[in-house]
Amino acid sequence: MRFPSRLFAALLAIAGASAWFVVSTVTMDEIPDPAIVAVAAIAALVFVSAFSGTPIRTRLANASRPDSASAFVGGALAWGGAPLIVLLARATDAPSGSESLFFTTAGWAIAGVVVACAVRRERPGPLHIAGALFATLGAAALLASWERPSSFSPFVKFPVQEIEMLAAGVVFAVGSLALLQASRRLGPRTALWLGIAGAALLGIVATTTTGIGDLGTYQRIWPQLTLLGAALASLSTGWLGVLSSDGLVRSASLLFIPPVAVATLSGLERVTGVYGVNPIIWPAALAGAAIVVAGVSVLWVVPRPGKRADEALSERRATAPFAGTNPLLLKVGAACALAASLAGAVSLALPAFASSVDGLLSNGEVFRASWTMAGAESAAGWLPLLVGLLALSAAWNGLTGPAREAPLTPVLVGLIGVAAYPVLVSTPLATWNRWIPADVQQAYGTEYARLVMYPVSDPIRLVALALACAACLAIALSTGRAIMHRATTHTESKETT
Amino acid sequence: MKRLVMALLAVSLSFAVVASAGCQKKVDVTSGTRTICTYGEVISEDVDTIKVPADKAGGYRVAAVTRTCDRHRKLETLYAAAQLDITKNDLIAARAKLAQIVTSDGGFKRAQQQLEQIDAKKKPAPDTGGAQATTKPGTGSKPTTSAPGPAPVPSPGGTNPTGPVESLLRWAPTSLTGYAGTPPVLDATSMSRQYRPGATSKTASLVIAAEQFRDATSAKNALGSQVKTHYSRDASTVSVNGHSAYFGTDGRRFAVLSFTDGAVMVVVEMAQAPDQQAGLRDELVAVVKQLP
Repeated sequence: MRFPSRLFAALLAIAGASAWFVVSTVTMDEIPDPAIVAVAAIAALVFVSAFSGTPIRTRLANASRPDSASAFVGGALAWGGAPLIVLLARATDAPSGSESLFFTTAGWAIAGVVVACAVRRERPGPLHIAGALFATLGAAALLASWERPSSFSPFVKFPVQEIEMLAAGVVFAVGSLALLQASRRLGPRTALWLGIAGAALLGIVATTTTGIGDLGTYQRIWPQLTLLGAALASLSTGWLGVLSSDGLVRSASLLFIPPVAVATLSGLERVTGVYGVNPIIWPAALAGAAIVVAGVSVLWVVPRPGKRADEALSERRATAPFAGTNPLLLKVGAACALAASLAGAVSLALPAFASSVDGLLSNGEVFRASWTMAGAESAAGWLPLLVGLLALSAAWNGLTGPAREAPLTPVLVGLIGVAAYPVLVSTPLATWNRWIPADVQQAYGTEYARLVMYPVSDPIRLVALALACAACLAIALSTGRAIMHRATTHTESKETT
Repeated sequence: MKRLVMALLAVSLSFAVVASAGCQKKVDVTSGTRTICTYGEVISEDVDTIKVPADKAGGYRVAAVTRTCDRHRKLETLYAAAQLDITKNDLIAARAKLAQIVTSDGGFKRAQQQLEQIDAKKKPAPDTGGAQATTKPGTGSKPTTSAPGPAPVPSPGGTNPTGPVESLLRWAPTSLTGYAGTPPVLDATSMSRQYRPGATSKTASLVIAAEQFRDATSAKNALGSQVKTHYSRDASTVSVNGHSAYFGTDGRRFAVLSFTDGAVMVVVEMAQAPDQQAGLRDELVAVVKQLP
């Protein structure tokens, strides 16, 4: 087996992560959670071994013990421990599917970026962090648009379980780093095999504490368990491939995509009419998906600080330093971005929704309340700040980098955020809260409880958005001029030759 | 500059926390009492909107008090007298009283109908206790006012059984020896009822759930996948009332006795202090013996 190319590995990882979420959701209450991990890992081991070229015995014979142990433990943590923590924290409907998907994909991606910050070799720059936050917002906006009223209200109904899911993300990232280290010495195929074997052993040991459950159930759900094994094989192979070639931050960025993939699946259902009416608010969901893809593109296009791409650009510009750039335009962009970020941060505390609820309690009494929701509880409320931060980071790259040229992608991504603002202005990120009686909130969307959320336009937020837009345009103009200048110079030199 | 960007990130996240917690500090809630006549009229409304801290908002509500208003109380007395007149065959007196009632409330019980029968020279059947029992105030006869009748007491999932799910209630009687039942929680194909253990009971809680499946095989499969999986410890089989019931515990504090009856799966679950769940077997058997 040749290890997959970058693009194929990325697709494998995304498909595997999406499939794992979907299939584990339908399998989780059928057999004990540790048994799910054990069976899935054993099946994944079979899949990986089946596609492996060199016999594993030969490869293992050449592997050193510390490296093998590192791969084994890393895999046990990443592909055994982390999924098991999630399965233990989840029930089929609690936390809700949208929240579980958010915390086990975008949440794990953020956990990966946070863990990468602690490792010198993997440490991301401000642009990567801004891009990751941007993609997180996109995932949240997309999942909050799966239905209205939405069940997406992070840290409200099941905060402990959701924190456990985030902790699982940290376990996954730490395990991945151990695997990465082992993979550099052992090669990805050996590390992959050992890692999945570690996950299988962890699952088997954990199963001894809970029992395997009813054997008849295994007979009934074997197709799901086989799919789960295939999903784990796909995820682990793709993940390790991207991790080996591009590091933790970029591989983590792939985990922002599964919400888009799962929503696309729902879209296909709608088009084909397989499962009837689809409640997704498509304009907002598409805007969220666009933000996810845009945010991920920042993590892939912008090189890590000190990487070769910076050096290459520096060499290219050494012959004509700062040619075509406009430092004043870049400084104007930076100033606008700073002002946008500050105003955007302030606007998080300012009103974004006027909300009211009118519902019947289970004893027949009426509950009525009206309140204001802050910008932090709205998808659009975060856009001015995050676009401002993207532009600020891009301007910083331009002003302090060797080429005096800001990267174009982050500012174009910022402009996508600005364009998404009007679409996301009615998307709340918290529908449930802790103080409205649960029996009223449970009845949202029925004749027993009515929830209304009107978006409120706040001048400071709009000013922040305008400043963020101006910053992106100024930086894009500055970089555009430099690119044009370079193209003209290149053509002239060719003609001279 | 890098530090500035990082600091901004930190500040904005702090803002987010403060904003989401702080801006909900005050909530406008409606609080008070609405008094409604048993015949549907709103008698009085003492309701105000007040600003309260969010964490206290859940305690404010508009309570509905139902009582019979003076007008309807008088009409009830008059109606009772009219029924007596009908029984005594004094239709002239009955007609006078019924006409008085209809003038005040055209939809009051069967007054209008009886009046029409008397005018058509027919003797109406007196509306005595039986009629009162079948025509509940506020539902059997329409009030004349435009105010809606008192709202039924709904709740998500429902507690008033209607339709096929009623048949599942036989698996969870209102009371069991040593236990007092609470209202059942019903869904389209399932029912559950929680019981309050008596003072001398050995158990901490008792819940009976029954679920209707497509066929007996599906019910058996559900028992295997839903019950045996979660209560896999101390497993054994018990024969109770002709049912082959599965006993198991979760190894912590819950124990179940579960069986299927055709396409219905019944689960009787008890809780006890940690690590004493295995001792609940006899108590569960005693409860299941009281079921069909």
